[in-house]
Amino acid sequence: MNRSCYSSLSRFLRVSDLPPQLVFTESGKKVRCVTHAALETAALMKGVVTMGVYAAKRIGNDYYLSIEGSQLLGPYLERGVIDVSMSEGESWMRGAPIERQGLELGIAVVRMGWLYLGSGRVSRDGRVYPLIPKERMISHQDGRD
Amino acid sequence: MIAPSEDFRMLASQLTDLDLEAYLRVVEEPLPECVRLNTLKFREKDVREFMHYRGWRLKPLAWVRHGYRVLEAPVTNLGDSLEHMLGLIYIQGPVSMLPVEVLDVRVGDRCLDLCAAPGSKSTQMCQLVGLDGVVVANDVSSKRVKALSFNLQRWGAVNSVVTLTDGRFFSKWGAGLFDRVLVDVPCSSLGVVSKDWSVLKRYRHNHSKRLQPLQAALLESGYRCLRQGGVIVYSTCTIHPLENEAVISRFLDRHPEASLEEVRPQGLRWRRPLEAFEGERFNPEVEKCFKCYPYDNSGEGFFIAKIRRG
Repeated sequence: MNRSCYSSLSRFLRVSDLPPQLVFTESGKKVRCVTHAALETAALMKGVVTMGVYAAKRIGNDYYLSIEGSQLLGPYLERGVIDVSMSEGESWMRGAPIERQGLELGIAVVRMGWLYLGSGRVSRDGRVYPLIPKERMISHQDGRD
Repeated sequence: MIAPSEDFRMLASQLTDLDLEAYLRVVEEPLPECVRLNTLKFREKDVREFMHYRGWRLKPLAWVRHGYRVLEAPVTNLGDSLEHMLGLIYIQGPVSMLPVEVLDVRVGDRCLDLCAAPGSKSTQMCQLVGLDGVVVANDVSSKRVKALSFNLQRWGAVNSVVTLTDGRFFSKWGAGLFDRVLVDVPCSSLGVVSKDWSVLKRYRHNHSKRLQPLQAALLESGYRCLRQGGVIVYSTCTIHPLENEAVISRFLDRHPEASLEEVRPQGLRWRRPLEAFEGERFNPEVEKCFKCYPYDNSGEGFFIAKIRRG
């Protein structure tokens, strides 16, 4: 693991509890999560485009977790997790913010039961705005006619 | 009613075991909706319970682990479901899940998917090899590699490597490196006409003739990437013998050290491959391959060969 990436992640994550097969690599602002086996194999290949999954993006001192990043790292987070109901989770996945009072400004990860739904930005207006790419959002007509 | 091209009608008349009426009737219907549950990121039991709570009704498929037929869903378009967007499920045709199952992927294996885009079979391999294994998902088209990367991301495939190269030359650096190789080659797609009816209208005989050398070269390259004792699966979603039986027969003639293994999945109807086509008599071993027409299982038509490297 990249040292600076490790120390940054360990500020809010129980890094030592993560599965030993996982490695984090930071390139520019993006953090990817990959297994040791995949890293070793990639070194033997030509034309490598990506390895593992995009897990987080560094903005300033904060890390925004992607949906997969939240699902991988969520269980090891020590703070910043917001629990939501099924209907709140669905509207979050449509791009709607969640209203919560008394949250620390910065980044929050959203959890619906055992399922992590990515991260969002906690704003001064008491809302958490989702940072979910458009292509991962569900449409507003989620239901059978 | 679909109007197939003259070339397709001629092909159908040569396939003595094909019931053209039944074929045309089935391909007019949409494929049955099936999904595979993600066991790489989640526990299957948790996903099933979650989906049940949300109104899904699923029935397990007999021939594939983690595969289900969708009986009821809370959304009209499965691709717009919460489960799809969060990577809990992969929407995939029922027979299309079979090649990876036949490949007999084990935990910790190093696998290669030579023609991987858009990634359904790569994601299936990723969930079977676990965190100690690895799947190299390769494709030749940069546009298709984008879709492949997107699907592997959604699946949480931390154990994957995506490469963009011409699969015919992969063995130059990948020779002998892999335990399992899947070669799901580009084909005339005559087994999945339900997805695109125009395939039947546009079909020309020389299309299959042109594809055959490419398919043979991809199989050859994939075979070279195997370690000794490793397994390669060659699959197509077409019914044309030139792209199926002929490719395998000629491969076996070139590689007497390779052994073909029987593919007889539980719960799926299958038929014996042809013994000869257009004057060419095939290697008798070819009968061990799996072949089905779309109407055999109300799904896709597929051809699958499983070869062990000697």
